[in-house]
Amino acid sequence: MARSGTAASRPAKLAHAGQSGDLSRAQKLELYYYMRLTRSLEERLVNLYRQTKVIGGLFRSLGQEADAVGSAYALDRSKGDVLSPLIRNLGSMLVQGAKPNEIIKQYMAKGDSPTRGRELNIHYGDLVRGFIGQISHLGDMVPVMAGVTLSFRMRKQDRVGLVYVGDGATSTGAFHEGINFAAVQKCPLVVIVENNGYAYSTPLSKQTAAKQLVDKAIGYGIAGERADGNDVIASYEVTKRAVDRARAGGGVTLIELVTYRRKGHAEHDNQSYVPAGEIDRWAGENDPIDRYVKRLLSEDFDRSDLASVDARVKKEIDQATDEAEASPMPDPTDTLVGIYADPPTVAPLWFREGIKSAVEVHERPASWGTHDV
Amino acid sequence: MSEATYLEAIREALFEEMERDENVFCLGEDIGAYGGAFKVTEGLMAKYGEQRVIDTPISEAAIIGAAAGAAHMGMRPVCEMQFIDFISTGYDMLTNYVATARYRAMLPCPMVVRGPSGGYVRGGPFHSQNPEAAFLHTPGLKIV
Repeated sequence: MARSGTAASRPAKLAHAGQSGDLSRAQKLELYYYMRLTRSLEERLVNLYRQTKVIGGLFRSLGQEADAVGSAYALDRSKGDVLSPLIRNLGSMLVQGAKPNEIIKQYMAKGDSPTRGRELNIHYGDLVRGFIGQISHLGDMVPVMAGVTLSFRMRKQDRVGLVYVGDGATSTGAFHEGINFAAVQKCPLVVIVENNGYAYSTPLSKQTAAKQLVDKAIGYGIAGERADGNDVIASYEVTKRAVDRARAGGGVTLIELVTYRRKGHAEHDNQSYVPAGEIDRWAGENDPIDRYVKRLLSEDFDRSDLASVDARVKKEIDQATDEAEASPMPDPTDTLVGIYADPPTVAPLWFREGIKSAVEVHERPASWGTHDV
Repeated sequence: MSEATYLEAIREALFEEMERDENVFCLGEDIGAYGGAFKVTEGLMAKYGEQRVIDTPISEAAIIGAAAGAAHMGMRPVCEMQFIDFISTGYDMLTNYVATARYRAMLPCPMVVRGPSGGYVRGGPFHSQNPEAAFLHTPGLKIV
């Protein structure tokens, strides 16, 4: 059966290329640094995954680095702006101050990772640096960020919040309830819908009958804008307008950033559902880093400027990898700490030292099938 | 010692806490101008204004989720479920997000979700439930 084309089958042709008038030379190079760091860090994680050193899944943002980096760059960290990323917003977290060694430790579930091995991947937060860790239930961060930004408004703080959802999350009840609540309360919140064409294997055409996701803004009575998510400057500028609007008391903006997910939902996903040629087209014609490099070289940057950034990125990732690999795994007895006010005094059976068989009996009974990594 | 109904005692506590701590605020459906379906929050809006006594859309997930976000930032939200039966539509936010916040992400989440439970209002099967036992199976929540 011939596959029908999806909304994502062709790279986006959006009218306005970013102008970047207000960005300095150093800032433009910084945008390149964060995009390169995102891609190279994920490539390193793939290496570790293939060595079975990653615990759990590996979620790539290949081809989406520009929208994550450009949008987060529009926040003002000196004012205490806060963002809540999605699984494909590693770039946003790096902009906000997350460190490569933290990311690798999270993916390896190390005992000195930010969540002490309790959570994986980029599911972690830091209120000081201004990012709040997501949970897996899509859409839930919209109500949470409505509350975060409600507190800004109540305390008359000059702060803005930014929350990311994907095209799939716009179908959830939490997305609807959260954005509607924030709209009514005029919270200083920017909601970015990262439209990458797929939610796991489900194409946009099976997610919504709306012609474009930005149209949903009309129903909430809020501002809506749509931009080319593979243009880092355009992503920055559209978000900056929304951030300025929010800070000035103009309430919520919904931004649809059009991009494309070139890898599967996670590293295990073979993307059998993607029409032939679609991924190659985006990789060839619309890679966000290639496009930005071309742009920088057409301005007053030369190859050596970019090469020095590349070298810095490699050095930082090498150092982070060494540190993460040398880190200890979590202390098993830490697992129950913080669950109950009065933890059980007897260690759970599977933690008892020396009884390996207990693990086999209680953790992996034959009836569960084979699920070992 | 003076006698008070449960309802009056909760209202008195809300007045005391909102007076004592400006981070305390209430949110829920019809709790402001109307004073709540059971009048627990009656008089609160008149005294503390609509900034701190928030009439929300009919959105239990947003009420609980927004309370969590505000609590992360240092506020002390008190959510009202108009009837506790309706907490089921906020179940995901409460069990997956709120209850796990401190354990999985070291995020403080000091907030209250309260509501009237039980029968005797002749409300039928959706205004008479006692769902609290279901939440006892969720570490991270304190059931009172």
